[in-house]
Amino acid sequence: MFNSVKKRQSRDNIKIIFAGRGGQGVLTVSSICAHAFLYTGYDVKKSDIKGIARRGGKVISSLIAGEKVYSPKINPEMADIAVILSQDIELALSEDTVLVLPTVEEIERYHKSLNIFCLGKLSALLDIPIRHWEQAIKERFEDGVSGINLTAFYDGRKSAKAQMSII
Amino acid sequence: MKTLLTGNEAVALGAYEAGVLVATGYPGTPATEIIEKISIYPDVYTEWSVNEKTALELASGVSLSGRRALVAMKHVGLNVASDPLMSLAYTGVNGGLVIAVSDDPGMWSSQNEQDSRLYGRIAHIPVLEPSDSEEAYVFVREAFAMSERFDLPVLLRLTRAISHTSTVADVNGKRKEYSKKYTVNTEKNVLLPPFTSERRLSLQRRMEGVRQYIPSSGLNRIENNPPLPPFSKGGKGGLSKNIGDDIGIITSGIAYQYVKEVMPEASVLKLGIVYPFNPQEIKEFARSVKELFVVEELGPFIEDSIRALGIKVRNGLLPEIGEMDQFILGKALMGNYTLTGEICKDNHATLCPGCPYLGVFYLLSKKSIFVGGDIGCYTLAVHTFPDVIDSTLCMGSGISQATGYSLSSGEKAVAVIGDSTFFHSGIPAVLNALYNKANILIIILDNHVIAMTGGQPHIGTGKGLMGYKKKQTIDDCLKGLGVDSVRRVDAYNLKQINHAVREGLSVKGVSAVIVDGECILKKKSDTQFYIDVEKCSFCGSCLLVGCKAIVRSDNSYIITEDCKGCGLCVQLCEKKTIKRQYKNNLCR
Ligand SMILES: Cc1ncc(C[n+]2csc(CCOP(=O)(O)OP(=O)(O)O)c2C)c(N)n1
Repeated sequence: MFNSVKKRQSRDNIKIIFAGRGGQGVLTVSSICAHAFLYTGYDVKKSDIKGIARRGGKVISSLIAGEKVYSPKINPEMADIAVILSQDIELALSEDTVLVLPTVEEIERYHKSLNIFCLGKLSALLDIPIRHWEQAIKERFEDGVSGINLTAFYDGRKSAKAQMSII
Repeated sequence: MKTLLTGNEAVALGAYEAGVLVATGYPGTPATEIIEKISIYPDVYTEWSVNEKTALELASGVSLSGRRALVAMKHVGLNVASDPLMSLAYTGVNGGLVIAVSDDPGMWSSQNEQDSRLYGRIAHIPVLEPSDSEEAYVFVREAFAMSERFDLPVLLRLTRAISHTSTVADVNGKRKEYSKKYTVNTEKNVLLPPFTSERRLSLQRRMEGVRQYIPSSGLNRIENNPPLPPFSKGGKGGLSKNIGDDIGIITSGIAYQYVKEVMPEASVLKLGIVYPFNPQEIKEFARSVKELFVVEELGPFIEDSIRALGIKVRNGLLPEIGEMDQFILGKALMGNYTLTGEICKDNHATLCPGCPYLGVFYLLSKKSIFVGGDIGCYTLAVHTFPDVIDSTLCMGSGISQATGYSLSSGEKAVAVIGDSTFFHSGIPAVLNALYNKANILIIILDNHVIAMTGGQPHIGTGKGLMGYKKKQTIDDCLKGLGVDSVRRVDAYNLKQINHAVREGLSVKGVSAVIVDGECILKKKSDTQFYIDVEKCSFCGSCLLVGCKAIVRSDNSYIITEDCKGCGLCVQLCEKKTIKRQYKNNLCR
């Protein structure tokens, strides 16, 4: 009987997992995304795996947003979207999870700003006005860098939109 | 203004706004960021103290003088600080004194899991527990106000999932200075009979004051969810019962969030103050519901207190071990007992490529001798060299354990301890070993930083959160204590380490070797090594040093991008096939 309650609660909120290796900027993009949700007026919670795990390499950050968010915890299989920056990371996702993965060429091309490129891809899937994305990105970076980062962001957004139109 | 803050950031901001003059602590996951975040405000004096006990004692001096002080630490840190804590409840405070402690259910970054709420009961002090960052932010200010009002130190208890989760908080960012006058009060502040007797009685009265204050404090709240209108749930005109609307749940902290997730319709008594309890408040809530559950992480702390009031509580079947979540709670409510919540079982964390500890552990792994380990990055050596460390207990324990082992076995024993741990709690153990004529070799791993918790400075580095401080070398310290045989060696020179360890082991009495090598995460290197695959005889000697940058490829070994150019493997390669290259000139 409690199951039905649980499902109803969690269906309303959007759940995103960000994963990658240390140094790829996983936490940077999950933080930008959380702020973009905040500026749009959503409740949002974000948890990062920290501690010893960091030294081993895998970095995972999970984000939940919606009208009201209670628990900050999700299972990978509950994720609506998974943004995975490193191809060797395995997560027990469900078949319904939408994957945001860079291609091999994109990994080479975007290198240091691959995280922001993938954030751009993610942005095409979410109902967040573009000005809130820009605000969140600009606040995160020093002025000089934001130009470059916004380019990577728009490239990602465009590539995702193009893909979506093919489907 | 609405903003996203982690629980730790919220505590820092709340304390800043509350006019805290001094914030002290010692690093420890998941509490470290509290002190790091408050250190950005120039009007707060912040320091990494040498250990948690000194951090709390210093803060209590600030409180005596009439200003507010915050102390932050992880759960095991509170054990170290527990001695002053117990007595501070007796003396009470002048300016507010708040101790923020973060527990680590599931042991993600700790040697054990503990429930710091219990300190409220042992010490007789109030314990506040927030459920998210906004509450953490508000509760800190309330904790300072309560501390002054009831003349008690106040514990603010967090857990990993609160400390490290960003949630939305409405903050104002305005600071209000606080100061009170100091007046001499021997009978209050000197704990000596006959004053102790009155302080003990006064403590009882002060805690009774807190108990009476709880209902009006606004820290606890009852959430009675409006029942859904009848007929709303499918049944053909029949009155269908809403799920959980006659169930009452008492909960606090992060567990509250899981309750809202799983049983949104239940009535909830959400405790913001988890010690002491107001019996009347609990009894009234219990009377208003048909069935009462207590939902809490780590063990029946609230539940036991409620049972002690003679109130019937349904057995919640919650695990007493590990971190809880809504899934475990859901199962428990359906009658499925799970023994443990989520527990960290990660065995991937090993010493980094190029770590200055690799060489000495490689050499120790070839000896069969008792090695008393300690807490720090070097504990990770057990994943690289399985049998090299015989024990790891708590900070500062290795030297005394080696002393004990040597005493009973009659053999020389080794203790391995990090630089910060040496200053934190190793020094009394060295003195004890000298005093009692122990026969041990102390190996101090001097990586010039507190590495495990993210690279904080300590007295051995001469730096602090607010710039340059006094620097103390371990060598001088050891010599001052009375250790005659002290050798400092280069962490990347295997011959040197080997020689020093051999000499150290031959000394009858207490000897020391300081292995000097800066943490590799702090170092920039312009060289890397590569293996000449044509000449590699595939003997595997280079692997013995345990560096993760060396991997197997077909019929040879190769050195990956992760190489930091430390050169340890070169010293083991018999065929001399490992060559140096400069990074801007990589031939691979
Ligand atoms: C009483 C206590 N306080 C804090 C910690 C958290 N802690 C674990 S390892 C560590 C660092 C020890 O530093 P150091 O001895 O220099 O070793 P390193 O990590 O640099 O190798 C700390 C502070 C703890 N486990 N126990």
